Amino acid sequence: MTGACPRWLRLLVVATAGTVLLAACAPTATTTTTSPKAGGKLTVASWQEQDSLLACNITSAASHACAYINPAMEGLLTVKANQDPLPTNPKLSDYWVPELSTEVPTLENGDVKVSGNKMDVTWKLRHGVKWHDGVPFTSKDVKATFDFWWLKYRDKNPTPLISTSGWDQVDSVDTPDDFTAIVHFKSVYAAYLTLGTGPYGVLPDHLLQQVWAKTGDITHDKVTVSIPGGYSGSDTLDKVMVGTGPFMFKEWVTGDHLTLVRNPHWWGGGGRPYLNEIRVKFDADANTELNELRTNTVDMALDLRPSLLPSLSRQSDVTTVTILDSATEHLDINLHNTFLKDVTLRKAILMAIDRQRIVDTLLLGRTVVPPDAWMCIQTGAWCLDPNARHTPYDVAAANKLLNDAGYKLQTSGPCKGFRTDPQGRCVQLHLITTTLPLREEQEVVIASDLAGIGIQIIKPFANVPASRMFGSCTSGGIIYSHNFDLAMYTNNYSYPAEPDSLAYTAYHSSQIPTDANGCVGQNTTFMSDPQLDQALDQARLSVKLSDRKDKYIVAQKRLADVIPEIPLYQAVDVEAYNKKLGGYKGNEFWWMNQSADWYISQ
Amino acid sequence: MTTYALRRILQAIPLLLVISLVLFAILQVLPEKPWDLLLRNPRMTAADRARLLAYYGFNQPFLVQYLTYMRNLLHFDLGFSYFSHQSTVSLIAERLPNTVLLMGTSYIFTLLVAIPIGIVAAVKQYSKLDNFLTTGAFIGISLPQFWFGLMLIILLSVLPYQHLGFRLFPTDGMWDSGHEGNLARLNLGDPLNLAWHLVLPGIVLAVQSIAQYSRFVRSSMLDVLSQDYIRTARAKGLSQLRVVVKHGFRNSLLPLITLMGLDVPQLFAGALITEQVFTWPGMGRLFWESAGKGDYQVLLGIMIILAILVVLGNLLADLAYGWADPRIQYR
Repeated sequence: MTGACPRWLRLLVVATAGTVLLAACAPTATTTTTSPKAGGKLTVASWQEQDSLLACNITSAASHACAYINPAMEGLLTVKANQDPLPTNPKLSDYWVPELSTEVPTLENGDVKVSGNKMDVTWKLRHGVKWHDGVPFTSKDVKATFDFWWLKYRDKNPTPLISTSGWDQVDSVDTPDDFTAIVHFKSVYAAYLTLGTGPYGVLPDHLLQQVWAKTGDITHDKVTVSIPGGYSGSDTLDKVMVGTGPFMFKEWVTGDHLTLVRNPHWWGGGGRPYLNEIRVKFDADANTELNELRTNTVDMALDLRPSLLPSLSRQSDVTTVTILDSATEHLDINLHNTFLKDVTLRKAILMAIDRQRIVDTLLLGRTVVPPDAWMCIQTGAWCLDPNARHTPYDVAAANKLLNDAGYKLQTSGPCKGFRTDPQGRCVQLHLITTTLPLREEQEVVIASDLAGIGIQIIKPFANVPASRMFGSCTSGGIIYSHNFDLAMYTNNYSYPAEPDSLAYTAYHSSQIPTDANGCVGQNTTFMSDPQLDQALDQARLSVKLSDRKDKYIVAQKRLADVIPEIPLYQAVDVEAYNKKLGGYKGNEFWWMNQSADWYISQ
Repeated sequence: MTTYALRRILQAIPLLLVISLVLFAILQVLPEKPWDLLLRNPRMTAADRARLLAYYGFNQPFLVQYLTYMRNLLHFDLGFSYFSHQSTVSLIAERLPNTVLLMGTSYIFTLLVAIPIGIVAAVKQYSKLDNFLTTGAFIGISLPQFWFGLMLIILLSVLPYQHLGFRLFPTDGMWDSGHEGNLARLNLGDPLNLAWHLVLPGIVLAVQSIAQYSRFVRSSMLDVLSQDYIRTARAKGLSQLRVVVKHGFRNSLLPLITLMGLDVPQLFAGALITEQVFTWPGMGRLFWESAGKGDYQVLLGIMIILAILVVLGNLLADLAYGWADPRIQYR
């Protein structure tokens, strides 16, 4: 035998090797595993970095901060994911899910008791929960949380708390045992579910004790923390966090990333959380997030702009989610404006703007036009008026309304092509908004639609940055100083399912920001209606849901009659993730709620 | 020289005091106030608002606020962020190493490339090579950094990934996931990954600087090369390299030193646009973010440090003149 190999054998070997090599190099077929798999890291991009780990409704109110701390910090309750099923006629409590408590306290289940004008709420707490540093969670933590917010220092709190509203209605907290906390309110407080719930709803007693032994300011006093597998060291609670959630704090490199690692002792069980690590990467803007999705540098991008929807739709390996918010992009109407104080003109404007066209063309049909009075939408839908008014787009009717009211279309003179009011003045309105591209596109549509009924929009592109738009009334902020005719922006619920968090501050006459009231409130339209005030007052003083709903229906009817705003469309959150991520559910509030269920499927 | 340096430092103190007062006053009169964002909460009561205004000292008269700030400054306390509650010094300490790395790398690269280009362009004045380098320099100067940065991201990162399945360079950041370090804690992470992330922002910064510096060097060299002592050196039979480098370049250094002295603060201030485009967590982004929020104590801290660096940079340049040209005397 010689060493020579037959030619046919060599060809066969080469062909086989080539086939094997090609098979190895070819992209594997993508199969989506439906059963969750443990392990893996997930990188989430976001264009906003939290200033502080306390920025989720403690020292400021930043929704993005709530998102990143949410996997680590829990509250007594959390909110249901947007696509989770609701009963046919949902109650307020149906939007909430027990987290560190075992049930949602309501009047019906006896956990809420009203006696005269006082109220007690009993929180039944989950057993077997530990803080990330190994200290057991008990009712002491709930009591310490209420002490921290109000009972220990009242209005002399050394921590710069963003708002003590609601907490100041609490008289005392009893802890009959380790797993029961009874909160005694000095008055009936309908929004009691907003206290102690959501991310960072409960603070750890043992760390608060460290702070209280010093100055009592949690932004100033360092605490010593040791999280097995996570962070160890000493810093203020601005920079470190110890929670009970499925992920534990490991590190935060400012300007770059935040790392959370798996909590192997999480109370949720079932092998969850599945991921070993979540890394939140802080980007400069939403376009960078998009580039990172395109290059597979990140697995998920949070808080993208609706204007990026067309680009996202071209990414075949990315799933884009639009989540309807309890919020509305709308036009605020300055009711003290010479022209706009006439409800006929406001009604004509409402009828003349083709809002569905804005939804279909600028938002690719991913949202809806809300009812005229939109205070009970999405998580607030439990109080929606069943006969809520939806004014249709009708230019002919709008023109007739104006003609009948004495607004004359001019064919010559300085108002040529536009209307004059019954006093003969040209109807000119100034529309202002922030400098977002989508808003400027909306402005074009609105200016064009209103020109169709003879209303002239002046300075349509003299827009301002958000800081100028929403600046305080003392520093001349546009909307809080009422320095506008029509102002376009989005307003939203501060807390899930709680219309009081929006409606009272936006529509009650006591909430018109002025120097006299210390610039509080966000009633920017000068809405002042005794019937509406009464309904809003009564709704916040009742825990009986049917009573509250009745009051809110009265409020909605008044708002639909008065028309202090033109709702354009229901606001949407846009999020996108790589298709290898499984278990994702969209959340309007706090975005990363169900991170324990996330898994890498490939 | 020591007496001269000490005198210059003492002269700088009143100048810095005036600068601090002017900066403080400018921030006070800006229309956006820090509390615009800080106190923007619909649930806030009037009592909450009053408590917070007092906590942050916003309810104090201007002069009291300024004197408090200056008293703290004498204790090397640059105030604290209204939003993160961290001291300005610690915020700067977290970002400064990242900026020094980016700016320092691009600066060294700039000098290494721009000086030879400038010298060659001067020596070969009006040649095809000079015309080519001049054209290139004008293109480099004219390139807007934000546009150039975005183009590099699209051409060298996004498109290669979409068509070839890999990124030639990363889109942004300092490290990829799993390779992270923290320069403020002297942790380089994966140095190769860090170097890979440095390339694109480094190029964006360097291209414009190379263009500017090469023009300066060319112009300065042209002045020197026409001097009598250069002609004498050539007449003595010295090699072209020796004439150009030893007799020419050294004597052309004075304008370059001035430029380098002016650029010292830039090394610490960072590159606002480039850092923003490439999400580089440096001083430029800290400044931008603080300005956007109205975090005035951080802004003020950064600006006062920059003012000190401008003074120091000029002093260093003045001292370097003596090294470059022994005829210069310090009195």
